[in-house]
Amino acid sequence: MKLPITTRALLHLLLVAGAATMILPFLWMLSTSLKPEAEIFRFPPNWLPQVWKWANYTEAMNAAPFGRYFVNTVVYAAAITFSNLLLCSMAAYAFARLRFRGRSVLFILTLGTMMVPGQVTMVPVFILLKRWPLLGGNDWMGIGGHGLLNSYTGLILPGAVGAFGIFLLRQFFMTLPRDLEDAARIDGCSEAGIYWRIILPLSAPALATLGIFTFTAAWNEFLWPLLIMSKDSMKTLQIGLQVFQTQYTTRWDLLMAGTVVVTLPVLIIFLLGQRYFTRGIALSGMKG
Amino acid sequence: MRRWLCLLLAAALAAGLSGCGHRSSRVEVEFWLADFNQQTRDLIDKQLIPRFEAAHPGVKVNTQYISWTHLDEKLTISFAGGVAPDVFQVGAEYVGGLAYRGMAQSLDQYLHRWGAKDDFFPASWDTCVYQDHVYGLPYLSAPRVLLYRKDLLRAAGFDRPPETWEELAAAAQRMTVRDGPVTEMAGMNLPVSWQIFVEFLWENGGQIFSQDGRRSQLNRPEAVEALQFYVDLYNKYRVCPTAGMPQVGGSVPVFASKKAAMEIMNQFGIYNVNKYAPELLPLVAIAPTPKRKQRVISVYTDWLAMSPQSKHKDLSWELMTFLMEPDNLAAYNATLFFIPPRRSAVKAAKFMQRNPQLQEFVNLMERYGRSLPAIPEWFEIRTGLQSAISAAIYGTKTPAQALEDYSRELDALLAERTQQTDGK
Amino acid sequence: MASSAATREERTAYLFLAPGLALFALFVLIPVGAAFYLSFCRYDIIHSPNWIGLANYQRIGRDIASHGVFFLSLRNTAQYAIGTIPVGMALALGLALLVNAGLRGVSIYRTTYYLPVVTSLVAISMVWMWIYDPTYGLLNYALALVSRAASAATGHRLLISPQTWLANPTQAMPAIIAMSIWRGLGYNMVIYLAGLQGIPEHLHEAALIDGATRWQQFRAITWPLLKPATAFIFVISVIGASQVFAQVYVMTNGGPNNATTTIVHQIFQNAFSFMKMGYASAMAFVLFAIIFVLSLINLRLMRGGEVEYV
Repeated sequence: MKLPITTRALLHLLLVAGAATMILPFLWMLSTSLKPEAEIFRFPPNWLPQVWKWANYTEAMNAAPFGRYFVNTVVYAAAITFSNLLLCSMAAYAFARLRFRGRSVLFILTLGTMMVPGQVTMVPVFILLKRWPLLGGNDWMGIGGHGLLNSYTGLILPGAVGAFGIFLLRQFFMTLPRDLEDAARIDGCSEAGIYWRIILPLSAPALATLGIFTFTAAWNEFLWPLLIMSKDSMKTLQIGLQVFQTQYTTRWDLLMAGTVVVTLPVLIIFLLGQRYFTRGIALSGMKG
Repeated sequence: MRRWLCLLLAAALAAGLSGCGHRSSRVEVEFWLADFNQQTRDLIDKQLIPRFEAAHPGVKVNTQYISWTHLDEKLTISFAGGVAPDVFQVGAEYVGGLAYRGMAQSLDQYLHRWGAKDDFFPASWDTCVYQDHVYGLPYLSAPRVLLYRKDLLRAAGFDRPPETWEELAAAAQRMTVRDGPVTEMAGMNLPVSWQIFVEFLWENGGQIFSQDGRRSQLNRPEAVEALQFYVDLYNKYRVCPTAGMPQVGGSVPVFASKKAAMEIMNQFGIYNVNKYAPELLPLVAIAPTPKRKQRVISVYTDWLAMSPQSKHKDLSWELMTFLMEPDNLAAYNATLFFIPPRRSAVKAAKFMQRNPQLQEFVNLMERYGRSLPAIPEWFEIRTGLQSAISAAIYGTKTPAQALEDYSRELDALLAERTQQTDGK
Repeated sequence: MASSAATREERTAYLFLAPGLALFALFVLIPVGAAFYLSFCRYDIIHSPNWIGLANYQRIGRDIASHGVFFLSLRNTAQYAIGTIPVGMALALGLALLVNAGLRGVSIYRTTYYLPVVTSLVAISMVWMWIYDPTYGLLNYALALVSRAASAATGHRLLISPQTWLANPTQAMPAIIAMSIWRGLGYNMVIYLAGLQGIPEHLHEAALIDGATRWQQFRAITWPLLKPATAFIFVISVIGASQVFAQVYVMTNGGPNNATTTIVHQIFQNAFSFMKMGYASAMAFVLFAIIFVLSLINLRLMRGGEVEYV
């Protein structure tokens, strides 16, 4: 469906205007990251640095062990994304397609937990992780050591299955037409087979969406990693950025440089994942 | 496919478990700092801690730098989980709450043997005392004085800094320059802050709490007068900057950006001028804050506390006293441009000795310094008080009404504690 | 045979649910239950909780009756939700339709609009604090430029005075709302895009052959088929808006004069600064009740989310 050229031009104009508002703050972030401190707060603001201080980036990265933080953040984000994609899709499939006792109640319960702010569950979860039996120096009663604190496991497990993912995928699965599944069932395919070979491939856009969301959220997660980690070797990138802020001053130049570096990986992943958003993948096998 | 999944899960689990930290036979002391910058971390990580560890073989100090914005939640959750740090830094309002909840160890028995208590400035030392017991050692002090531009004051026709409220208002008005609705030069730079109100309150001879700390004194005439004066500076004399709030984390502070003639500020005011407008430095002078019924310099001190959950109390004490040694204390304060709370540390600090203005800060702190009363409910009080002050300044309530309402709230809050202690 | 198929289906269901549900029960359901229990206790985190019955809830009731801080946080949160949800969803839908319309450079647009989502909320909040800065901020600078242009054009001295934005009790919340809409656009747009991708192309083609206009296609095909996506986005947006916290915490910390404190901000403050964990939990469950009721209303309104294909 090719639109007339005037419509196309108008649409482009709108999109570009919108995109400009999206980008403007980032342009400032970028410009600040390349300025010496003295240039940052000036009125009127100057967009191009008079002195291009590339050294901000090296100085920022040397201020803390960002290499280690990077590894921690990648492990955390990747593990959470993977576990969410797998476990949420399994649960969502059960909710969307399988009939069983207590389905509605369980689903409402799952949904309900999203409505309780995480801030009040942080302390119980923290204590649970600290008193985890037989790990982290604890005896079987959970006393003596630090349990799952300061570990990847403690960081990942609480977020490994999110109600958001279950909800998103369940909604999506319910929009898929049942013809293929019914045909497969008649052919004697197991539920697991249907799930793996039919539902998942058809759900590529939704899975990609959930994957991006989960990865991004985990990458940018700040409070939870801050609370359970008290060893430098286990911190994540977002916590690392805090080092540029003190009570009375903020090193904006280094903070912005650090933020740019920390944001790049997720941006790249989003760019690479773009193709899963494109048309034609979903339901291409539906005709006839 | 399934095998690959299992392998991945197993690897993640192994990685997770290994991240738990190796079980070592060394003794580990956890130390949390909230006031720091790059130089501080270099000092602590590369000089002070290695020296301490060298003097105590088998001991490892795990220093964590936690920003103030997140200190509360980290402390709270760590105490809840029983993994509190051994030594940690807290701020001026903390002693009551920590002591009351058993989150700070009383240091009385250690102090007898130490004997350095009298070397500390009284206003700084009081910050760590609750009901006559000492719960920590002061680490940095920040006294608030009147900072002013000598040139602007002289040009306005004053030969000495204002000493009374009337003089302050008059001088500020003369020095204020307005261009329509925009204030080009604010005669008096005051943030909308409960701490400024407390300053005026004390100058007026008022108190926040009764002697026993159980009733509010904020609805007394002295308090209402103080708040009225504060509100007048904003709305009647209009000498304050149009942007009322303290500058957001890092943009050039008002005084240093040459948009204010006077301000009530701690030594950081000098630091900012030096950083953003060094040419102004010779024109900046300090004076005691104006006096109405008494002369008061409010002093805010950050200090180190010890956790009662600590498994290495003696060692923690040694770490604290090590950090309090005059040279170490001086070096730490030098990185942050704070006043060392200890007289011998002030003498040992080159940055203090070289700077006559900082000496004046110390002088004023010695003579008129006063710290906040130790009350367990400060976190709620400062939030509530801030709301009351804001309401008065933004005109939603009169000062009398705002203080009357808040006083009632404060009485109820303090009464809760009384009930609890009576029940014990 | 039918019954064994049914029980087999049940068993499969439980098998599919088991791993996820186990983790979920341990790390979400049980802590939520613990928080619920704590809402009936006085718990200062250090000492064991002690049961005080409905006292926390009664206190909330008194606060609301006397227009106290919690009441203000309810009002502010409602203001935030009303400000961000309708506008945000409409803009996101419009964006998704535009991006999906087959123009060139789609991936660039998609990336640009998603950029704010990809960056951490803390970083975004700090950048916007600069934009709103009264002295050095971009917004006041833009206003100054507009003033200058207007003065030059009319010959009179027209001045839009620099605003204090985040320091102004009436402007602070709208400022946060604007920034949140800006940030959330990409997020909802991406979900709508996924929904749009799920609409089979042949439906549009058939309609086109039948002579339907683009608006008619939207009303008859796109909008109904987007209902699950819209329902989802609405529920998620309501849940998200009612729990707004990070921006407020970083940008204004609830001020000025409680103009921007939100429910979760109150919860957080009471739990971690005032160490009133029981009271904070009670507030959390009051919030839960509100969201739950709103969601029920929403699901009832959006009944019929499943569309049958012919």
